[in-house]
Order: sequence, then C-alpha cells, then structure tokens
Amino acid sequence: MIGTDEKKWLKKATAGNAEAFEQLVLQYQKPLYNLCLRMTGNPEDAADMTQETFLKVWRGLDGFRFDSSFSTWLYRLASNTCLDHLRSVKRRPQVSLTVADTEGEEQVLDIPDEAPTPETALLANEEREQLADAMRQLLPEHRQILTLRIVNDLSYTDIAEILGIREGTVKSRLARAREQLRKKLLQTGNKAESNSSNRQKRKGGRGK
Amino acid sequence: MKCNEYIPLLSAHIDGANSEIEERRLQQHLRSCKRCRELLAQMEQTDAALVENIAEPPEDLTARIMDQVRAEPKKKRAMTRVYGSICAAALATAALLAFVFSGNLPMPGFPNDGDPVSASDNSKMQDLSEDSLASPMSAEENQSGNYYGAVSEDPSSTDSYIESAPLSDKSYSETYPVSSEPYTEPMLPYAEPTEPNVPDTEPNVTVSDPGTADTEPAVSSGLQPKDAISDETEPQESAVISLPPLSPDSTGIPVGTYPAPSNTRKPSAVTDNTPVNAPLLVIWDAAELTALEEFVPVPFQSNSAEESNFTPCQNVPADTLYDRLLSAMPLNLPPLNNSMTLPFEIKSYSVPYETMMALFEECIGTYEIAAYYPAALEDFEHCTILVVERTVEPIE
Repeated sequence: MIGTDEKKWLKKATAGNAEAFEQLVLQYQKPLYNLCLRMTGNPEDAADMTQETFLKVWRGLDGFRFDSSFSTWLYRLASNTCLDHLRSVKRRPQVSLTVADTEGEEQVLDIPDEAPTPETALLANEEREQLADAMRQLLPEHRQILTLRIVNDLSYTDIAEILGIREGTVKSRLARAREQLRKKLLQTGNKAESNSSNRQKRKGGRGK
Repeated sequence: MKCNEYIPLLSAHIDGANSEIEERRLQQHLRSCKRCRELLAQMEQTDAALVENIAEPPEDLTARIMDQVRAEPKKKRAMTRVYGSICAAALATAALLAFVFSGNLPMPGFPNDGDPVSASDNSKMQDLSEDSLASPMSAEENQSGNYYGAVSEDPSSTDSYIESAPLSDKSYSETYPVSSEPYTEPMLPYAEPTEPNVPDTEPNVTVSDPGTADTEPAVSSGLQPKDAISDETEPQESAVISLPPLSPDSTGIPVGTYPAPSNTRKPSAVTDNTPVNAPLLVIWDAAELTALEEFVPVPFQSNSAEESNFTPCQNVPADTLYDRLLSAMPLNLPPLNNSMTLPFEIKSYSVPYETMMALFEECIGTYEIAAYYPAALEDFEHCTILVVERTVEPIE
C-alpha cells in the first residue's frame, strides 16, 4: 500500500521535515476526515479529530516501524482517537443504549410489506440528514467498520489489521452493522415520512 | 436456514467476500425469497448513500494541522520514550491494573445475597491524589499510538483524563458529571429480590469471607465457567465459578490508582489491601456483546431467540485479544512481546446481573476490579465477567 513517494515522505517526515509531512496530510486527510465524520457524527468534531490524529502521527513518527503499513496505523489512530473522544463526551453510552434496547427486537427483521415504501424513504430529499442521523444511532464499532469498508473502501484484510480482529469477525460485524444501519434508516425514513415536522422538533430538542 | 441467517451472506455478497458455496447458497435463496431480495436492495442503497455522501474536509484543515505541527518542535525523543514507557508499563502493570472508581456504580448498599460488605469496603477505596497523574502509564499511552510509540507530551491532550482523574474526597457519584443517571434503587428491577430471568443460572452466590480468601476461591456460585481461549466445548449447565485464589505473599508495592482515560469505564476499585498480583476482574456488559463478540468466548446464555443467535468466536488469537482488550478497556498492560504471549490469561463467565453485583462487592479488596457497563442498569440481564490473571511478574 505504501507507494515510493509515500515512503520518501515518511522518511523525511520522520527526520522532522514538516513539508514532507504535509504531503502525507494532503494524501490522507480526506479519508481520515470522513472516517472521523462518520464516527463522531459532526463536522466540527471530525475536523478536530483529524487534526488530533495527525498531530499524534507527527509526534509518534519516530517510533513508527516501517515494516507495518502506514495507512493501517493512521486509520487505527484515527478511529481510536474518535472512540476515545466519543467515550469522553459520554455520547457512547447513549448511543450504545439505543442499540441495546433495539437489539431486543431483532425479530423486526421482517419488514412488513405494507410499510411506506422503504425505497422512497431511503431516497428522500433528506437522505443526507437521515443517513447521518441513522449513523449516529449505531454503536461506534459499527460506524467504524461501515466507514472503513464503504467510505474508505478498505479490504477485509486491511480492516482486520486496523481493528485488530480476524477477517471472519470483520465479515460478521459488517453484516450486523449493515443490518443495523438499514433498520435505522427505515425507522428514520418512515418517521420522516409520516411526520416530518415532528422530526424537526425532535432533532431540535435533542440538542448537543 | 432462516432469512436472517442470510444477512451475513448478503453483506458479504456486496463486498464480494462470499465463498463460492456461500454465494451459490445465497443466490438459490434469493431466487425464492422476495424479502431477502428487498433486503439486499436496501443494503446496497444504504452503501451507495454512504459513498455518495463522502465529504470534503474543511479547506483550512491542512493549514490547521500544519500550523500545529510546525508549532511543535520535532524532538528526537520518541524512541527513548517508548522504551522507557515499556518498562514503566511493565512495572505499572505488575503493580496493578486500576481504574478510577467512578460514576453511578450502585455498589454501596446494593442488595445482594451475601453480606453487605459495601460500606466498609467502600471506605477503603483508595483516594486518587494528584500523584496518580504522574503515573508512568499515562492515558495517552493507552491510545493506539503506543504500539508505535506515538507518545504525546502535549499536556492539553490529556485534558479528558485529567478531568476524569481526581476523586479525592468527593463522593463517587459527584465526581463524574457524565454519570447523568445517579443510582436510584427503585428504578432497578434488579434491586428487588425477585427471581432472576434466567432459569439455569440462579444468582445463588456463595461468597466466602474475603479475609480467608487467600487460599480458597473467593467466590462460587451457579455459573458457567469457561476457559476463555482454549476451551471450545459447550458450557456446563451446573458448573461452578471459582475465581482464582490470590497469591498469599502479596506484599507492598504501593497501590496507586491509575486514572481511566475514559469516563465510561464506570467503576473500578483498588483498595489498600488489594494484593499486588490480584487478578483483575473485568465486568462486561451484555449490551456490548454485539459489537465485541470476538471478545467473549462464552456463548451468551439467553432465553430469547434473537440473542441466542449470537455466536461468539473461539480461539481468539493472542494479538487480537490483546488489542480488543486494550481498545475496549483502557487497561495498563505491558506490550505484547514478539512471541505473542499474552501477559495475562482470561477466563470469562456469563452471569445474571445480581450475581455479578454480588461478586463485585465480594471481590473488592481481593481483586482488582474494572467494569464497564452502560448507565441504564435496567439493561442488565446478563453480564460477562472476565477474570484477567496476570502472568507477568512485577518488576522490582
């Protein structure tokens, strides 16, 4: 995964060359920012977390072992930075609990056929907002793996390395995460469709 | 196969990760199942939506990062720091694995079948002093970067952990503003001495006196013990949990308390009497199992059909286990050595909530305790208890 340019930059950056480090930042800030965005759920935090990650990288470069993949290290740092952040602001428990509660109703799996056409709900204008909403309701671990796979387009092997889990676990966790996200989207979609003004109110009330 | 058992195949299908056999089986099912076809379509739409919504980072992000980078003089320090911290970590870990005792832990006076040990034990809970902040393992080093020596010296980045650290004289529930739901007994279904939800695992906890616990297993109850890593067989219905006895010659490395980097690691407890080599009791919550399945080697005992779908992974590789443990709980563990030998052993038990609480109370002062569970205690029907036994000797 490491290109020759990247290796060069890495070596220089390790020696303290900020310009070389900037090249690394330019190369990776978008995928890392998107990972952080999906994990934290808001752009401000995402920018902060991206920044924090790169700062950690800069500080830790001396200790970076060139035998491991730089990008793996980056993704791992970023996602752990986000997880720590989520824990420290205590969003995680709230999020987890929602999931824990709904986990109990796993049988909801059968989507009744008469449900207001999920397709249209999924494709509604508010899609972006709904998607963000739904993502925020997932376990951080689920957001994390969905983003790594779908947004960052990483292979199961890479994800397994980043998260320190087996590929089999990547597979099963991804399935669980996809299913959760699908359900959340249907829920928010259906809610939005049945009562969009209500939804606005709810969102306002929830605040930060 | 039921429909929801095809979900993993559907998901892997999208990623092209099914084996030939799996794919054939899925296709066969899809031909005959409209619902799964819809499910697949929705999953694909969801994926597509995520890709379509890839965002551009703020324009000034690079500048922000680089400003900060340039403001920070690059020092040749990391390698020394790493080695130093490895030694420090080993020492610290040998001495103890400890967490801030915090939040809404309903430990004092929590009803249980055993003796109410809570009050006195609670008072033994070690206060955290500022000294603990100077502990060799800082919260920073618990972050992922420590594998690679990404050691931060920026004091500002330790804010969250400083916030979470000081306990001193405050009551535990006051200390953590994040614990927004103070423990109130009436809200707890578990506080009532009603029969437990799980028939096979009566919360029949027999607890021995902690004072005599150094040779006898401290706790036994109707639980299903399971060797975490090696044992692959189904749990015995009537097996008995015996937490490992403590080493009798547990002498004096002063027990400090290391602040947890994260506020959500709810309770943990180290008393003055906690032996140096005391096993670490990690209490895990059932709600986390969905996300951390590979970490729980014991089949999740449950009556409900959907929960029993949960299939835990067996034979977790050492490095995986280590990483998961560290990323899930900010434990101060020494780094994994090259031979991938874990510096600890893990046994896990799936127990009803009441049993967990009884164990928890009983183990204070005998075990080092770390626990993690969500704020709403009602969610607890099962907990997974991990007993982490250190296999690394303290470094003098």
